[in-house]
Amino acid sequence: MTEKDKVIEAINIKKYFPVRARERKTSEQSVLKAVDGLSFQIGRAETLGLAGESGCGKTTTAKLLLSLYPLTEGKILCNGTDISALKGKELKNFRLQAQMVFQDPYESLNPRFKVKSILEEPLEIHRLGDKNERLDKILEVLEEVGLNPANRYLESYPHELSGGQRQRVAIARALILRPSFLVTDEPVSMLDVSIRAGVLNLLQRMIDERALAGLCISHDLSLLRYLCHRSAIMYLGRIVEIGPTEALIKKRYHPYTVALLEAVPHPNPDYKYRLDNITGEVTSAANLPSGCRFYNRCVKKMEICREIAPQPVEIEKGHWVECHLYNN
Amino acid sequence: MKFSTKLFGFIKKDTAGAIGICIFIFFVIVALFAPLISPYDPGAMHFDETGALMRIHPPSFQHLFGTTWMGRDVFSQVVMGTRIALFVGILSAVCVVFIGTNIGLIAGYYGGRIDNIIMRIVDIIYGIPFLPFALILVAVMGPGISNIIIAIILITWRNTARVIRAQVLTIKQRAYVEAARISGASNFRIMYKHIAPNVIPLSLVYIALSMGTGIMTEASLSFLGYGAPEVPSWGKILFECYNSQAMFIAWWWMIPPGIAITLLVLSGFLVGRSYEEVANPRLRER
Amino acid sequence: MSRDNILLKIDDLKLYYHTTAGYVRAVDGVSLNVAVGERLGLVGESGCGKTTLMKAILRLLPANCRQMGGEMYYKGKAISSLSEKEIKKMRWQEISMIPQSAMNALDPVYRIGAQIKEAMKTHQKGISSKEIQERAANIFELVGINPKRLRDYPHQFSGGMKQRAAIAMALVLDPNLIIADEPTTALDVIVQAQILERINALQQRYSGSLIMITHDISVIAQTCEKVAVMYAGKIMEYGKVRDVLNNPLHPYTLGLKNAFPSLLGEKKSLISIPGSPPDLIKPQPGCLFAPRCPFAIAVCQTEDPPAKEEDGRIVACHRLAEMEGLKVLAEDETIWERKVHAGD
Repeated sequence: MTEKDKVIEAINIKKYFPVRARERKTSEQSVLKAVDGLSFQIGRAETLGLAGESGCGKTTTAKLLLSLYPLTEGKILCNGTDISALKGKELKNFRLQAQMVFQDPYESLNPRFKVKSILEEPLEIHRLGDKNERLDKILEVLEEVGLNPANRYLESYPHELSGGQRQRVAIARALILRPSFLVTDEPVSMLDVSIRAGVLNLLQRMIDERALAGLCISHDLSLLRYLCHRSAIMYLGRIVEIGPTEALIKKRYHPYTVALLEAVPHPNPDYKYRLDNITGEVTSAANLPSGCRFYNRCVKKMEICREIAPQPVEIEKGHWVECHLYNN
Repeated sequence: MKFSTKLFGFIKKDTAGAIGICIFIFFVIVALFAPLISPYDPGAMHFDETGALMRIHPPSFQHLFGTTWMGRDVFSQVVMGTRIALFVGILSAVCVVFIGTNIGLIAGYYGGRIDNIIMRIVDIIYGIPFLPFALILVAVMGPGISNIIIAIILITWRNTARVIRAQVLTIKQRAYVEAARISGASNFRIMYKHIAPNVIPLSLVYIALSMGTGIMTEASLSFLGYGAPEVPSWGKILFECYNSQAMFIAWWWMIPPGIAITLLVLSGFLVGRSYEEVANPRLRER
Repeated sequence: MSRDNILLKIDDLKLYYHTTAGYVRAVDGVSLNVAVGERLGLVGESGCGKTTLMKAILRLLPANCRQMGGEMYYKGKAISSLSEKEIKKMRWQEISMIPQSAMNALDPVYRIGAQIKEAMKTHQKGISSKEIQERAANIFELVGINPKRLRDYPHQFSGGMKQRAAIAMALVLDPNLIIADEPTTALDVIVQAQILERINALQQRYSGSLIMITHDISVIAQTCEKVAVMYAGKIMEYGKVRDVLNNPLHPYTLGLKNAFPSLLGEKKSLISIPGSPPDLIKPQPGCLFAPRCPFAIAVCQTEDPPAKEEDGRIVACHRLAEMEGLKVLAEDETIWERKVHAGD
């Protein structure tokens, strides 16, 4: 990826949350390391998938990239500018660049606003265009997300729309500012299966047509396969494997990736999920082991894993794995 | 649902609320047409045919609620007192809730240190006994309706602020608030365009409830002799009745203002309670 | 399937919700049999009536839902004829439910062990407290939780453990029929697989019957033998899981499969089913799926398709005979797209 194509770049980002005293187990560690040293980049017209179990830090990562939290450490570059310490007007200008689509379209649209006001708000905030220009933009983006005829939806309240239509409105809101970076957090998990594909295809088309950099968070790897060029697997605040999605799904280098992929139930009864690749329960990010984070659940653990945390290794071009198995 | 139907929809379901509204409307009408309804000037002294002052005369056709020690018409005083009661009640309630809602919004929305400081102030104010504080304030600043209203505001914003803050804490977690932030909305915009509309129903409940507190406080202060001297409020009628030691002789002097206070406070309470069932999601779920 | 082998028989059941706008036909003429020891999956989208149907079995429906026709028989006895006392006894002891969210099933102020023991005490009179303790410990081991944690409160459990505790509670009285309502929807993949594994293992051990309600066909594929595909209050297709999922014979099932992303095999583009589920208050005449179906013909708009049965496979579609040909067409994205005009 050339410098010019890079839209968003995270350099060793960390986010620690303080843990309240009564939840603390030991006295020395009083922080929850939600995100603990991530580096990756996303280019134009490219989507990166972020998968992992709940509590692995994927949503925190997304919020850091959107500058909703301050970073504990590290740097985030958006189109070349450091966004980690933006304030006031500069932060507002960054908001033009990065947008998000939320998981639950029933929650992410203000129930008291009509579709028109929902879509007009971002334009109003950034003082874009006059009344007529705004209306034109709203109609244009509604048609683009497949709500035709757009006129019919302007005066509707969110509760008058179906789940799929609401999620399309949410996508329209994210796109109306013409951002260069789009985060989607489980964009279809609240929708019925039969209409998921439509929303997914729409997202994919928008990312392609507008040459957006996309970040898609999901616990469902089969979904990332359809939406993302590259995918990253997170475990307790670290990326354990990152690479082209198809290669990652087929080759599965990291033991955690193997466990995660094997546990996915298939719609074909002839392929059974497997659970023999992982043991135990997920540990808390507030109480991390000194060596590899995955040590106590790994079926391929070695002596070295207990003491020393592994460093990422590039196994194939663009395919990185963080595991001692591949260290030489 | 349209806002107006939501606002008044509860009346259909709740008899107590409907009764409250009727009482309230009755007093509003009385207050509006007070000069037409009251047959005499409340300050005028009345004399009988012999020219003697009509001291504590029982109710008659000329004087529906009888007369006072000074020969004044009780009915006219009660009717004119309605204006003062409603004025104090509504004005103090609106101010209290306006201030309380804004402080609650700020505390709940910003959280952290701002929230901490505000909530500790609220705790301290909860520790101040209301009536003694109001007494001292009025004693220091001088009697008068405006000082009474100030005393009420200074103390009772705490209730509204606390409840509104709790509500804001849950609403600010909603995804659409975060979505607005990502769109670049300012804190002010998020607070007043996205969060406030969701807490306003609760604020309305507190307007209804605070109205009762305001009326009661004004009556108490006036009864204790700290009322505005020139204003014929219900509390002052009671104060004069007590002062002339006529309480046990002239029931017609004491009971009408007493009932008026009770009814008006009750109406605020009934309306507030039944509207709370609609506005407060926690009560609605039951 | 012999007659006396049938544990639960649902016969042309109609359940309508009474609303101010009219009757909502949530379940409209459903017939199903569950044999002893059988695992049945019930799959459908939100609002298709699957949860209403299951609540009806336990008579847990809200007051505005009425049985407008048909009957359910449990062990040959009509469920609607049971007294309130009989039905209370039946819940849990005969038929138990694993709820969608375990958070609501567990009372936060009591220890989990106490809640499980309470259930045993109320339903099995005269059981000794030693036996209760033993069985509670046993069931916890079976669902994969250390019995020591019976002394814990619900908030000390992770989401997956709570769900397992809810399963333990549902199973503690050895019910003959377990109804699992989306038991893994809110869980992570690994925890989901662990839960499904437990449900499978326990079902085999106790040889009770299982009804699994879900919107996720892969969960059905991994746990059930039979599957019923529900749409708009009716059963569209029923049969063995392998037959139905690998060789669907109803356009709706075909559409569901097309829309379902898979980790295996070649990456095909996803095709969604156009349109949205019908209005159940004033349903249109004919097949309820017709407005969204790319293969709908004139007869589909006017006549309700009869359920045709062959080798234990039931399909309700007018064009069943031509399905082999239609199936090939269904893989073409443009066939489905032609229908897109109503939005979703």
